[in-house]
Amino acid sequence: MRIVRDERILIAGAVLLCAVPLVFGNYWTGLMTQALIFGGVALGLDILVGFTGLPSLGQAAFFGLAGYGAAISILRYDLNPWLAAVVGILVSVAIAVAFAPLAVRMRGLAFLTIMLAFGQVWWGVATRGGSFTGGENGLPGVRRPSFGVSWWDLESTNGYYVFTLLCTTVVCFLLARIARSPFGVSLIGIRENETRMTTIGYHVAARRAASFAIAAASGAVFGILSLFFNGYVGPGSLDWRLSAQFLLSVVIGGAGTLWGPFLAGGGLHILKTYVTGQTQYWPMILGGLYVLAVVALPGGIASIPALARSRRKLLGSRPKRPIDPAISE
Amino acid sequence: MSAGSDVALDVSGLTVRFGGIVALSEVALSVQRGSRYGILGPNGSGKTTLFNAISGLNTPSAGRISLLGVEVTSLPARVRAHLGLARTFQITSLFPSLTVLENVAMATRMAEGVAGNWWSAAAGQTGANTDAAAMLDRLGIAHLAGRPVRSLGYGEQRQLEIAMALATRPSVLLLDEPTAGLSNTETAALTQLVRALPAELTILIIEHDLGVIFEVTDRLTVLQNGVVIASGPSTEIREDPIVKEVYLGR
Repeated sequence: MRIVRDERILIAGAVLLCAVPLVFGNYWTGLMTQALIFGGVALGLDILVGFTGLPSLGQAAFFGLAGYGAAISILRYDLNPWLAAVVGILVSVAIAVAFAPLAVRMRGLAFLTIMLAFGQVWWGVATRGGSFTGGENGLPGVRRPSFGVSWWDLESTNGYYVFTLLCTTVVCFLLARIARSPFGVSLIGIRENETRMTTIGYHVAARRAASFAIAAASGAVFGILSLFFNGYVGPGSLDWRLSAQFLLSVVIGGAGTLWGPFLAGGGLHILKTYVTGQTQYWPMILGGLYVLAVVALPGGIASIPALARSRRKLLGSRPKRPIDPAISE
Repeated sequence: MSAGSDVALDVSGLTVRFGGIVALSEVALSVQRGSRYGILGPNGSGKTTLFNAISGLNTPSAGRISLLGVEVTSLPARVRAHLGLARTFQITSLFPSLTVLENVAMATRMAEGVAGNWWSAAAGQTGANTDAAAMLDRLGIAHLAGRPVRSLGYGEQRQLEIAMALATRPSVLLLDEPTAGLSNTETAALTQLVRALPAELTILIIEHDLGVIFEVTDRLTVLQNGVVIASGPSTEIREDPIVKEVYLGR
């Protein structure tokens, strides 16, 4: 297996992030755990939105369904938390796979709105589910699983942070590989020219559905991580506003770049936590950021390095390497 | 598939309606393997609709289409592609943000059977990429390999259209106005290219340029208002009084 540059950066980033508990206290380590979770969801959603070109306003459904699936398994059926996590992910992915054939027949605005409706159905089920789903109050009191070893305690902030970092790294690595594979490139082809893809023999609907399931599955994994972090799952994790935050993370980060949405997803969560502690105007600030990103930075955060490079060139600063004399006249 | 069949494409009683409009009415044509078959007709006569029906992009209201001995009338476009059908588009239809090589590799990966790989890097698929590079070389656009398609000139995009279609290794190729919008020099080059394609490849070509049509094709079907008004060897069609009046005479 060849490790390319992107993957080396990913691994280096993960190693660097291992230092967070050493440098920061519990508060920031906890916040970074959540940032990894929200960044991860946005990155998974980017496969669907940025690659396949299907903008979804229902990603929170897969995030929340996994959480509810696991929480109900633990609280109502007394399942082992590890097993419950698997059940939660399977429930979420199974619902995604069942809904995918219908969803991927839509494009653009129709897809966006049907996903909004899909998400709201589950939000409705959760809030009206009575004592089984905990209704408006959700399901508190979910304990974290344990490795059964003393040196890695998932109940501790630091232990759970490292676990989340490990899971996030694995998911990012998988998604980055998928994105560069022939399958990943075919999703770009579908986004850019569906008819052509069909006439050269690609099964467009199946590939769309597969990308839908991949986004859902990664949303589900992070839904589980969020459940165990908070010890709680509630209707807020199925809320369309959370879906909107995920979709905006993809746009602000730079759709189709994976790392942009990851940074934006994590960054927006940290910003949200800070801003909501100071004022109640978070939605306005999020809206403002979105407008700013669309107007000033259409390529998102991920386009900043390229913009900076071209700007440096415009300003005429000296290039790092001497120009090849063969090229310069 | 009846291997002994000499007919590459057989269309009978083909009718395509869009709402109340009859785009094609009872169209029949039979194309021999290795034939160079021209489709001629004024704008709006149903030529592209015929190609769309053959390639599976629209659903006929009536009639049958058989490709290389297989009845394909109700089969989806991608299955027809796997049976050996490829086409180009009158309005250039590419992947603008990808490079020229990546565009062609999208087709060669399908031909090599590696398009479903979700683990290895697409850029590392040596077989498919070598094939794609060879295809670019064959069409004389190898120097454009690394360029994003959106940065290409129109004539170069028209060549890439054909490269992508050929990269699927088709047995039957549909060319929809390949020279539309090209200069005289470009048209001449493209005509040479079509003439140089392997003899066993069956080609159907829609073309407005009569010079190209009579230079390339051996048989012709002439459409008008969705109806076949003449069909036969190109040399005979050229002298057909009805065709002369409707189309050639202008």
